[in-house]
Amino acid sequence: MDTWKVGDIELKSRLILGSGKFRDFGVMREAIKAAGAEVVTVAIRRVEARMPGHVGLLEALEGVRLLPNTAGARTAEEALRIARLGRVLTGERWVKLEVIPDPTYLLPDPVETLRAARMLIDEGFLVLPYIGPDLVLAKKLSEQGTATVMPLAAPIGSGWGVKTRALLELFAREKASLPPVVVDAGLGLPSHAAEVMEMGLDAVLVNTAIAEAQDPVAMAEAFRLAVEAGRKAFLAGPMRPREVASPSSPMEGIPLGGPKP
Amino acid sequence: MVWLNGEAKPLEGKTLREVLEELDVDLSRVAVLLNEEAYLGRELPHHVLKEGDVVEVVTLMQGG
Repeated sequence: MDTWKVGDIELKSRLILGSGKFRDFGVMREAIKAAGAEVVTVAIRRVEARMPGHVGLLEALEGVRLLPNTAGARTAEEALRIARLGRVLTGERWVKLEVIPDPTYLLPDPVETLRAARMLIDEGFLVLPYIGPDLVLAKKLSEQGTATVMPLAAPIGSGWGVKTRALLELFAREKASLPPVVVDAGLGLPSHAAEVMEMGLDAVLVNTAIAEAQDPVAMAEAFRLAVEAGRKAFLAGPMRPREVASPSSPMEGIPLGGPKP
Repeated sequence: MVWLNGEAKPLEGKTLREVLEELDVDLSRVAVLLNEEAYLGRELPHHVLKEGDVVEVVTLMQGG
């Protein structure tokens, strides 16, 4: 069985789903099923007076493991606060660490992320940090003991695809000195997910591309198939590209009607 | 004043539980951060609010 691990948690599915932006809980539930996802991210937010809280959300997420995020945090201290609340709400000790100071591009703050990771690990969290495609930062996080590194393919929700490919290839080359690499953010199509899986990276996290599809359930299935195909292709050992063509049919014995060459 | 979900409110002398009951939220679905310590809504400590206390009452939401 081709499994992978986040800390001590063994997972079969290499497709983590975000729960944001789905038009209703029913569609989200069906999409999670179609994606074969075992892990789904959730956010933590203030309640309003007389609002009942997450009615329907937990029911829709039954049967999957919740991965609380720190979305909205702009500093390490804010991330720690949100993570503590996520831990008591979900009963999970893992956290998707996001520290994002800028709402336009939603790019993660490397300095605060590194600081927050240290603080969270000291409190016993399993940390899954969202980062830019920065191998030096990834190695520093890894040395601190994060459970994964989660470099972005493109800005969150952009659907641009694997714009950071050249830098993600360095992550693939340095896999031996990194925890599992989960490509998070910016994937817009199943082919983008297949592309990073073919590179030998461990998993992908997808939200907007599925939630905003016309048919999120069908798109979730398409992503599942793409992730499985990409992973299988990586394990199968892809051919090396050549500089020139190489015929697939024999070059001898071609019935041209003239003398043998 | 007590800071409740980012707003200054005159809640000194009330207990944390009383404030949550006034908010009319389902205690089984919320968590509370009281001066950096997190608690489940149904496992609140007995705490009488005092000047400068910071309280956040939160729940799970959809998010990526």
